[in-house]
Amino acid sequence: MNRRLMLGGLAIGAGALILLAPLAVRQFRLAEQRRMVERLEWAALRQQPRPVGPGQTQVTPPGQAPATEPEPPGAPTPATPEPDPEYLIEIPKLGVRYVVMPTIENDDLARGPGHYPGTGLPGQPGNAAIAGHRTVKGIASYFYNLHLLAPGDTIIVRYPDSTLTFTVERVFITGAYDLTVLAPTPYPALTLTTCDPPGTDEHRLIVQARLD
Amino acid sequence: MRQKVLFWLSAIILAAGAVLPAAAAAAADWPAYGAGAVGAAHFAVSRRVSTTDDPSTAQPVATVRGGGAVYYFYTVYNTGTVPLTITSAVDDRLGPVDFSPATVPPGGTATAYKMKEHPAAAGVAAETGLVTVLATAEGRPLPPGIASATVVSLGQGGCCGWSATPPAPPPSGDCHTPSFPCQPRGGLSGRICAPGAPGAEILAVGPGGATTSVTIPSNGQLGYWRNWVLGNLVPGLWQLTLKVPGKPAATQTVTVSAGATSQVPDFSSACTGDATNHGSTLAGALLIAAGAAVLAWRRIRPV
Repeated sequence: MNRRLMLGGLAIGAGALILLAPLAVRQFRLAEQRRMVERLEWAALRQQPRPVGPGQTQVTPPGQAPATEPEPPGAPTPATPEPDPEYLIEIPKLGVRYVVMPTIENDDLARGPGHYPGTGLPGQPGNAAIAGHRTVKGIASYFYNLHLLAPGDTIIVRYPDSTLTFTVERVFITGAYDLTVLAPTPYPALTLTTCDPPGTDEHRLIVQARLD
Repeated sequence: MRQKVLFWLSAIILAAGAVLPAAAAAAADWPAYGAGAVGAAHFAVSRRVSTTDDPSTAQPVATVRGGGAVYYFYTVYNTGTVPLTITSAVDDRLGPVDFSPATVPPGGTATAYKMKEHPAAAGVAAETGLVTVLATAEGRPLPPGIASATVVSLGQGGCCGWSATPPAPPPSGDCHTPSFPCQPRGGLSGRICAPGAPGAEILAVGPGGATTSVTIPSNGQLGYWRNWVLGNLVPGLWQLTLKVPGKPAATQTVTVSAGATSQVPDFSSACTGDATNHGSTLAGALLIAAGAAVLAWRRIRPV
């Protein structure tokens, strides 16, 4: 009798574990993202950006040195710091903030949205592209609600020392092989890609935004 | 007068009859190749190669794989009827050659050998060398004797970058044809989004219509990159076509470089389509149902 009780309990427990595993993985990833966001925000606080206007912080595209007073002649030239590719993307309409991973490799995309290598960083001239999973094991993930964006919505990109605001211009669906969405643009643009319909590899949902 | 004319005519005919056969015999003694001769003095030369130091294994052509020692065996055969003195011998690849003995009696031979380390070739390298032997007989110099042999060096992997066994039959113009200036093969590697059932195929068409393909079978999962590799490709422009059932074909043209594996750009944007694993969902549900059934059966059993 006790053996049957144990067997039944074990079966129910194992079944529940299997069913809940994807949810647990999702929660683990989201918690990891929260930690990364907090770390980046803490790093931004330590940068103490200089305000340039009411309610705004200085906007400095990555890779460009912030405007500073001219150095006196003969002053030692400081070493030029490498641009920090780590940045955060915030979509106010969807209420999400994610740290963007440096690549679109499998491991990075599992941890968060990933930056397409070969495309510029947001704010630089050209098209910065970011990919994100819409579902993970069938459960809603980073870019699940991306289809709710519409032209005019804002996407915010935060670097430790600057903040950029992009305005959505287009939201559309295209084929998986359409690589024109990653093509460079003559102006600083931001492109988000994810799968469509959710949980399939049929098409891609594209959100294109432009730097304000 | 008439008798005098007949006398001189007969003398000329007799002289011609004696000289012409001797001249014809002398001309017939000249060998066709690789030998020097004057009158009854003539000789022959051979240059043979082997990957072992055993002269009996030496051949006009030797093949060395992945680099290593090659032994060069030289022989001068005195095929004449007078002693022969070797005055000089030079291999255009290896330098002076010292024959022993330097004086060769009629019917005798003089030999020499050299050894050279051949580095591993990137593909196939054929090296033909000539040895030129000068000799004298009875103080008179003889025409030079010349002989050649060829060493074919293959890369570490064998022939033309084939990793193991060359394909059969070898394609036309392949490195198995000795005269073909062989070029190392190249490769391509890339990644595609994990395909659904039944899988995907990448078809590659290269220079001269060469065709190959790689199949990426489905494993039931989506939403991640899967790597693929194509090897043994002739250097040049290749057109790749990605075929996924239910999707339009995607093509791109890439360059295969000799001796290198080139990275192919992605066919698609990032792999973000991750599907529900219905198998694990079903397994979990069945386990819960089974456990519940076991517990319920225990509860109702006393009744």
